[in-house]
Amino acid sequence: MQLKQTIFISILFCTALSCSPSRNFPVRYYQDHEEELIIIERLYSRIYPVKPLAAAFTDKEFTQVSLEMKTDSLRYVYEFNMQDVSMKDSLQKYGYDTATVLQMIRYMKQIRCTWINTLDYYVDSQKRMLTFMSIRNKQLDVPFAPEKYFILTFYKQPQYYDADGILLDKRNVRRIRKVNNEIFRRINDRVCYTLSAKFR
Amino acid sequence: MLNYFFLLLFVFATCFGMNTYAQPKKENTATEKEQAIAYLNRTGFTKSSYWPKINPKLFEENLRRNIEAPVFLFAGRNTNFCGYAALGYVFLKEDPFGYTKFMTDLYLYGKAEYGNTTFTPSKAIMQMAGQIMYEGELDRNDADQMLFFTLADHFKGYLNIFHHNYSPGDEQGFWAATNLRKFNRMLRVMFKSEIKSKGSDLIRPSFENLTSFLNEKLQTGEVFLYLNNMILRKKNHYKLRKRVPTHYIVLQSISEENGLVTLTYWDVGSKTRRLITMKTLSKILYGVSWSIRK
Repeated sequence: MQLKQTIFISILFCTALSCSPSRNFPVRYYQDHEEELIIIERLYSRIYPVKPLAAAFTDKEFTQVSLEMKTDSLRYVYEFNMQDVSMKDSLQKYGYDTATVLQMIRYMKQIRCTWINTLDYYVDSQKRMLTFMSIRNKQLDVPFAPEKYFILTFYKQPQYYDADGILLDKRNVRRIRKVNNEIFRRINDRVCYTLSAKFR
Repeated sequence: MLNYFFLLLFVFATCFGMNTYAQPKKENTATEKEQAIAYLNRTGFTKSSYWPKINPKLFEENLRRNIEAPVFLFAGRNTNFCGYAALGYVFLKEDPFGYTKFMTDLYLYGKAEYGNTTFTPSKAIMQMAGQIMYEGELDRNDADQMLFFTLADHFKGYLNIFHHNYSPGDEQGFWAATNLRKFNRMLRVMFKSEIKSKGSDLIRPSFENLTSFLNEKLQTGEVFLYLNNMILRKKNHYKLRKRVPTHYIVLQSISEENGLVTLTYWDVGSKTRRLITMKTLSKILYGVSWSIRK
């Protein structure tokens, strides 16, 4: 009987221990990597308005990069090995600021950012843009559970939150604003986070 | 002399025939677009009692944009409207005037006819259209919301069997899902062309040479692919993936070299070109539907 109790308590303890990082993870992660995150966001903000781009790391080792290069008529989706010169060539061919893109990709790898994109959202029918970043981190892994991604959204304007820090639609409206079907929480006035089963 | 005359007549007829064969689609579509815009200019849009949440200004703007540039038709980020969007994209390209008349009738009279079928949307969707939120551009594309809701409400397949009536949020669930047979039924109603199909919802079809097969079908009309989008538009890194088709795209071109396929397709809101291995394409492809122009 005592053995059973010990096993049960151990399992409970392990489960609690394995779950606890994800609770504190977002704010701590943001604080620890704020500098890199802001650099990535700034680099991306320089790239996107000139030539729209989305970038993803498709493998766990962060060596394979998938680039979505958007022109007026077509969206080109190509996958490259990070070491491969063809990535640089392709970026040049489609008119990207190659140095800035490669620098951004290196920073993404450094902090295990698996996806970056721009999404549009609407306030009073006015189009606005946000930067959407997904992070893969081992601290979010729970045994036998699907992988979770730490998602960050960066806004150009300060956002509105409720008392619990949940992102709201707009001022004077208590409606929760969802992004990619997820509820987001406050990190600061212009940055929100969520944990999601999807990185995009 | 008579022979010479017949020869000239033959050459003239051939040239004329070639011209009328090669150009009419483009010219007709251009004329149809002009007709559609002229029809819109003649029609005034005020608040509709049938569609209380639809903003007439956004509705009209959306119709005009669709007529001019069907490529931007967008089904939202998380809805199950991809099948209706694929159909809508080709509908807009092939028959812009028919589309405009259909949408205008729906808006003004709460019902519309197309291809011998009368569409009478339910009250639930009439209340909901215009209220979609947080789905990107679809939020303000009131006409697209109306079209997708109307098609989803009208056409039913076995995937919708337990979700026949709309409840808010159902656009992301089984209410809006489209199996291959239902998709083909929709194509047959909305297109004047003959529709053929190969594949199913569970078992992948086999092809002797997929690239040749698809290229051959592209010569005759539009080609729709029904595939598992979890690989084409990867959203997570799970090793175990559901082996089911989830998405419809409109094929534009395909070529193959050393087992590597260059695929160009229309997929909600834009045209995409990507490289994919033939092995992957065969693994994700569950159905092909194509039209045969008359």
